Amino acid sequence: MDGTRLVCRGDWSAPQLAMVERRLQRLSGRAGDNWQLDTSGVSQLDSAGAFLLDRLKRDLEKQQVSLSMEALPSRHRALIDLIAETAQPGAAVGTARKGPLVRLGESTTEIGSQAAGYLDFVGRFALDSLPRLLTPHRIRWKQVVGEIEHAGVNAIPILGLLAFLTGVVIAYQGGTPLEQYGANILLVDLLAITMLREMAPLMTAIIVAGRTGSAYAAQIGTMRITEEVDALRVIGLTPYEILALPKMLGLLVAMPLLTLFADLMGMLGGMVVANTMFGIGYDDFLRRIPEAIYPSSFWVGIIKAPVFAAIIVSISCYHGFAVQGSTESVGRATTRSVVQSIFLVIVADAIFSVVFNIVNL
Amino acid sequence: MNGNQHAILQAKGLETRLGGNLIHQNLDLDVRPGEILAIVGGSGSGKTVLLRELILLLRPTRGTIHLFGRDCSHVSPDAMRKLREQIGVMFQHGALFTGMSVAENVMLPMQEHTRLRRSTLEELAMIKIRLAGLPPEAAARKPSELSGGMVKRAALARALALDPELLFLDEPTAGLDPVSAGAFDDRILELRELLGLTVVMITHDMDSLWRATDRVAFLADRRVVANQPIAELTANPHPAIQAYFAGPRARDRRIEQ
Ligand SMILES: Nc1ncnc2c1ncn2[C@@H]1O[C@H](COP(=O)(O)OP(=O)(O)O)[C@@H](O)[C@H]1O
Ligand SMILES: [Mg+2]
Repeated sequence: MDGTRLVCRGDWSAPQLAMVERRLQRLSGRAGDNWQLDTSGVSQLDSAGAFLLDRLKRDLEKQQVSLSMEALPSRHRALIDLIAETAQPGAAVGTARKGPLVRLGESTTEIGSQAAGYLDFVGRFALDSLPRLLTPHRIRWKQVVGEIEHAGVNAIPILGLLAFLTGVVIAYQGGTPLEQYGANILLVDLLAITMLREMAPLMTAIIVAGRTGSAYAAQIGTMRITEEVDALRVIGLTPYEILALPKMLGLLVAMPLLTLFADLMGMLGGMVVANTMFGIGYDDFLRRIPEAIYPSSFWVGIIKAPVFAAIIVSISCYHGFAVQGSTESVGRATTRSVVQSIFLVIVADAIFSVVFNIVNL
Repeated sequence: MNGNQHAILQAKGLETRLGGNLIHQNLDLDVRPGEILAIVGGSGSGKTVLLRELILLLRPTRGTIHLFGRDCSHVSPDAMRKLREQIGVMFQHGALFTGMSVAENVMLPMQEHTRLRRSTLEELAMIKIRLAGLPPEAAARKPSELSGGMVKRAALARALALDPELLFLDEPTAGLDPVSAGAFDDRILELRELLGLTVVMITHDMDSLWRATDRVAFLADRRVVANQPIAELTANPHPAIQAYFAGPRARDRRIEQ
């Protein structure tokens, strides 16, 4: 019918428009119709409302229905005109979703480029650091001491507790079968070998990777985003050296000490269980220790610590420096640094076992 | 209702202490509907802090703030949501969400406050992006891939997302070249005309002050010492104002006028 009136009323601002949008899309007319738009009852019209009306006009034109806006209040007309001018139907916003094959390919190449990037980082780090290491008075010892405090001293309570509990668990689990053979006293040997050789260094590395490595990645990553790393470079400082070297030196000192501490706490935990559950007195336990500990067990454990420290620092600093652009990527770098540090620590531990076996330690 | 019925925003007797220093004392400010008000003052005079109080991010130690005629000392979460729909803010450094594209940044407030279809929101976001003066290609880019001027415009687009009645801008033209800064001022004037905005902006830009503002509130001695059109303000005998406008940059400008 000619002269259909489309009457709009009420609040036409974005938060209220969900129903209106649906109803407008259901509207249709016959070709050749002339509709009149009436917005005199609209209390508020914002750009979302104006956009819906403009889109309605375009949709109706496709059905060869004309929508006359002659009678509109001038303010509404002006807004709709502005929106019509700026709108670009079908303008693409989206970041196209990637197909599964593309993503598989990308993540595969990323693994390769990450390995290459890591080697590149290690090389540059060594290049930046060597001049400092050759002139020890120029090393930033104050920062090194700070790192030892953060990574080492502050980790003592949590590491002590966990190592103690690990000792307790090993003593419980190992003590029962030994008791059946009346070989209670060998519990000391069991504890010494598992704690000193394997558990203490691993526990320490895992705690440090989670506590300290993640903090390194987050700190350096955030500095990348705020362009502090670039500022260092512009001032003529070498960021790898100034940021990563004190961390490396600090952890190289702190990790063996932490491992030693974990050794002690683990043995202590085992000793308590041995005394209360398996009738091995403290004095018997202590007297057995020198026989049970081959010096090699102890050193094998301690020697792993600096290697683990190097892995943790280099991986987490690498991921920190690889951060780009968004705060999201700081989160990703932190996660990756922890996961990959722990993964590589365990790989290194396996390699140690094989090598020590070959050289009969 | 309290005080001046005509003010869209009214602050009365504000006092602010932060970390032991007194930043504002006995500060009064009113903003009329439809005007563009600039807040000026020396660096560190507390402009950003005042803005944070006006947008209800920071609670003043003492004093009241009325927005749209209602007291904002005690606002229920629901009422706060409504208020947020009516206020747009452009932060000093943009504060764009770095993990999202420009278009997603602009769509986020709309997604939160409306139930329109996604396709509609996308087209609306494109309109806002164009209105803010960005080329459409910028919509899909991440904030880290934008220049300083584009970041400002993207932040403006996000501030405009819900067609706020009241728009706050913190140093919108700082760091822009004179041409872009002038274009930005024109943009604001045009949007005020078309969308009926009220604008409160912090600025140091003499050209903006002369070109785009109706009144200028001058912050000194921890309070607003004058709130008047720029032509009158420059003639104000208050020593801090005279010192501010007697600087070499401001003087050149006045001679031109
Ligand atoms: N969170 C805070 N704690 C203590 N002092 C602050 C804090 N934020 C700002 N200030 C101080 O308040 C004063 C005003 O700051 P600001 O509003 O940022 O100044 P500007 O006018 O340049 O924007 C400055 O002296 C600043 O040191
Ligand atoms: Mg400021």
